[in-house]
Amino acid sequence: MTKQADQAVRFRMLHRIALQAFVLLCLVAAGMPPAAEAHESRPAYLQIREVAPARYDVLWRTPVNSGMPLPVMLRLPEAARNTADPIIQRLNDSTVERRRIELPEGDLAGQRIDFVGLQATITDVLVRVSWLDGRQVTEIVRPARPWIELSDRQSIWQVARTYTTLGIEHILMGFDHLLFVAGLMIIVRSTRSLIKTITAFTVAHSITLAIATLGYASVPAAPLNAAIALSILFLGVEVVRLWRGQTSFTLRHPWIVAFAFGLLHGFGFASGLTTVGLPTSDIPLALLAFNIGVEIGQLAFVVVILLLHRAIRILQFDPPRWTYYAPGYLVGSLGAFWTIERALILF
Amino acid sequence: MRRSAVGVLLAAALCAPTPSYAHLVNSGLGPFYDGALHLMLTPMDLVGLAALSLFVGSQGAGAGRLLVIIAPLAWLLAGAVALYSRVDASFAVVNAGSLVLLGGCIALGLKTSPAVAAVAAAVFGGLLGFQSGLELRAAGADWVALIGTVAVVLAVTLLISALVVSYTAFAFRVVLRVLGSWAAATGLLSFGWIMASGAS
Repeated sequence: MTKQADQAVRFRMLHRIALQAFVLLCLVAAGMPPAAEAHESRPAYLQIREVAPARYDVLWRTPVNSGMPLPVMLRLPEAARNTADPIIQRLNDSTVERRRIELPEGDLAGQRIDFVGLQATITDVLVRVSWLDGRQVTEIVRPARPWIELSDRQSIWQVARTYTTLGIEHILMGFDHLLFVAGLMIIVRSTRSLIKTITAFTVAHSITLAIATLGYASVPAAPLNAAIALSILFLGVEVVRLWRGQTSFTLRHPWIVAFAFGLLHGFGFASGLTTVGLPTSDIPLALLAFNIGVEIGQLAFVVVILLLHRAIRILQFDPPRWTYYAPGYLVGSLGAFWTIERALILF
Repeated sequence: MRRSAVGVLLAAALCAPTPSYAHLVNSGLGPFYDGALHLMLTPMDLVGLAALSLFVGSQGAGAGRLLVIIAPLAWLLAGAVALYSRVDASFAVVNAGSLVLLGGCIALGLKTSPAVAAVAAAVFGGLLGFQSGLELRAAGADWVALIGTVAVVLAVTLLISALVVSYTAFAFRVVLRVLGSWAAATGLLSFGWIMASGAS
């Protein structure tokens, strides 16, 4: 063997070893978010509810990450007085503080609330204020502007922006929804089929999102979450079928299955929206904006996956055979894990 | 048509004004995303990584493959060393110098062998990873945050190097050289900033 050929062989071996280490790293990275939780969207949350004229119930929830509480202090308007000592509850994942305040000047509208220390973090605060007369304000406070001046009415633009952002955050932190979309992307075999499948999923979850949010139907959270996990496991099985060269109804018509399970996932999205609540005066707009946010997040995910896939092809990677199976195993294994985990909660 | 649309989208994304946040690792979304966000919110690390990807990507698909494999691994190893060691030295000057060097190489259209490109990926990936690890340690982050950072490194190197490999038109080569000169200029400005503030 010539010296050059020997070098080429050694180079290829080095390349293969490095590639295997790299794939292992990818798998660890891919498994990391679900290892945390299926739903990790945990901004701080401030809810103020008028319970009697000039009297308000305040709920202030801050996330705890790796045992560290969020270093943010709530500063209510100066005129606000506690009617009793605040009650503080320390939970595994958050700290909840409840208090009742009264405002001698009456209305909270026009007053300013500060979140001291928020500027030193990258955590958002979701603020929701409701008055006895039905007025509601929901807004997201960002670290770049760590305070809010409460207005008694939100502009259409503010409502749309707030709920679109919420929609994006909800889908991007909802790993189970994203994994389902990833599973769909694996089983479809053409661009046309991908467009059809993703559109069917979108239409379906939009329908149930609207139905559930408007209160026409509801599904208990525990069985719903188990069923969503089962939908992911179902796709894992279909991926294996695809590898074996077999066919099935799902593989022939993925868009129908995407539509059917999309109805289920829509109820899941609705749970995210009902936690926050809808402004009574702008329900259609808020619902539409939230749905648009979910679509933006979902499309961004699909585009990033497609771009990465395209990039891998451009760079002409020739990875080991087993790496082709990794995404399918990830979908199936996590689907199975979540199904068992969530089913156990039911009993 | 499709390529120009990608270009317009890329330009829009780069020009989109966003508020800058403090670099504390506390997103409320878990340590993995804390780490991923940390890199996205640290312009010096991101520009350095982009410059490395542009340079190695311009050497061809083979070099691009090596970059995508080696740079994240080097980043992970060096980042872990910085995260768990007691080293307090800042590599800011070295990183500014790296940026000038890489930017200069891109601007000059320098061609190297895949082996040299691999060494560059290991050395510069390691340097950037070490600096990033120090930042994560200062922010009280753990190894999961480092994995989050490395996931972004992987995505950025993969996308940028593939972009450079796929575009061979003369106009894109000009754009590439201009980007290189900007990276070098950013490195020089960083030098000036470090000297003026007395940092090392």
